[in-house]
Amino acid sequence: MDVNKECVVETVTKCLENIGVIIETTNLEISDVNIIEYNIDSLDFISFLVDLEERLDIIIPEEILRFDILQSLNGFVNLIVKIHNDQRS
Amino acid sequence: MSCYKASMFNRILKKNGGMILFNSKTGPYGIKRVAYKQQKLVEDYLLNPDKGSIQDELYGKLIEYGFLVPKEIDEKQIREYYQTLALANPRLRLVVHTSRNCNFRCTYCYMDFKDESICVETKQGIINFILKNIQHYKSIHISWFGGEPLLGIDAIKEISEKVIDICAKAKKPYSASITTNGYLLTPENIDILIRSKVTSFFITIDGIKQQHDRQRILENGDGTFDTIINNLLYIRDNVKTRALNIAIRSNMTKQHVDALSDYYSFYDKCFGDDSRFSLYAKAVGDYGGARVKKIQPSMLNGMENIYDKLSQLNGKIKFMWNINDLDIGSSCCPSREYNKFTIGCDGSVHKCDEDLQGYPVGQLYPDGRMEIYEAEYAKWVHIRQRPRCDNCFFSLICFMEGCPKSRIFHNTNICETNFEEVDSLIWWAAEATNAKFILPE
Repeated sequence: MDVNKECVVETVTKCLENIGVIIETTNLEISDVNIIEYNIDSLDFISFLVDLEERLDIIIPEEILRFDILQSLNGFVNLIVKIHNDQRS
Repeated sequence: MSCYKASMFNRILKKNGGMILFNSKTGPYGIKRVAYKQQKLVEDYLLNPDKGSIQDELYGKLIEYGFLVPKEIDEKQIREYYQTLALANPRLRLVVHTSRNCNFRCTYCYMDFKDESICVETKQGIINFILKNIQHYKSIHISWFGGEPLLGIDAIKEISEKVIDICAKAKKPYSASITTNGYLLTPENIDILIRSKVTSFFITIDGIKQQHDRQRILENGDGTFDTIINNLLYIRDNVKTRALNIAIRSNMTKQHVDALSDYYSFYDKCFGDDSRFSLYAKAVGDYGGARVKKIQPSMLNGMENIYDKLSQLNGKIKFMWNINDLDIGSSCCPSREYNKFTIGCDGSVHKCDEDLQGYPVGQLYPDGRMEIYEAEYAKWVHIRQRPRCDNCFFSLICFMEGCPKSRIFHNTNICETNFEEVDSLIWWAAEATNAKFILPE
């Protein structure tokens, strides 16, 4: 079953909270967030991705395992929606 | 008169008509090659920066890549900043020994094994310590260690479940790693480790089957290679998450050097298409103990021959940890961080992961209280100053002291860096990172 963007935003927000990044994620299209500015390091990043994989039951492909992918949270969420739906189809 | 000077962290290397520039602040990915015709000028500029001008393109590139720095910059102060930063790392890093026993009897191992597992009080102490102190730290990292940590898989599961829950409630990142011989990385144990958020694995396999089974044997003398490789192949084929780092560490002796090409092709064939796997080669060191004496004649003086040979091999699998050995502070033991503690099975608190025989720096109690023995603790956590290292390019990598244990327990005050080995590593890193020319010819 396809997942909608709001559901992914909610899950991503929860996973970010678990690594200590608390952000406002309503209206991401208009006010995008750069997560790299939140002083997270590579271990936090991996911890975030593992949590996200578990909650959404997806496998995040290798090409996304780059720190700079979080420069645009909106872009990242769109990507995760696509990955989720591709992996379900 | 130019307002630039050569960085004190530069290393200029020349070999067979080639020249590369390394700077320990910009690290392995900042290495630059110098075209033959520009070599003399680059050397002139770095020896006497006043001779150049920023109008010159080559001079400009030396500034851009950090080989020339403004004269007013105090690079020793910058080094001190990085030393302080490393010391005050806000991450709580616990190295937890789940077992003092090991199912292997490696020929070079210096440890004395005891049939001792992590006790109930220590498990409680770790959980309660994190629960009570989590707000003081930016994040929590546990490294599972031993003996063989997988002999204590139940403890890993139990502690992880509680700590992951504590971290989630406190909104703090949690991560974990394990150093294991890989023999017990069964599908069941892998599943537990993945659920326990273990994402970095350090697994020692000494070369290919014939070499490994000579050095890393079970207590009954049987080889262990096939079982470990099968375990890793299972991970490759069945563990789906890509967010894993699996470093295969090989302890090298003279025999390995002779068969280096076979070694590399074997691992490249098995794991080259899976970027979660990388290799890490280290020369077998004499850390004492009776067993190591038997293999002393085959021990290497350093890694320089190996790095030279590795640069001639082609394949996909990378030696990530070797390359990372050229990063800032990478040769400095993390034991010096304020927030790094090694917990013995009995709750004794140490700084060194590998030597629990020495004086502990504290004791962890079941209620989570950690008593620190100030005099012992203070020996480890301080910014090292050593006048004779003060101008060395490598001082930003080793922070003027590789192993504090040598100073504290053996009262040695010598430089432990093998510079021939470091130079070989820099040459090889230039190949491995595909270093570009500072300016095309």
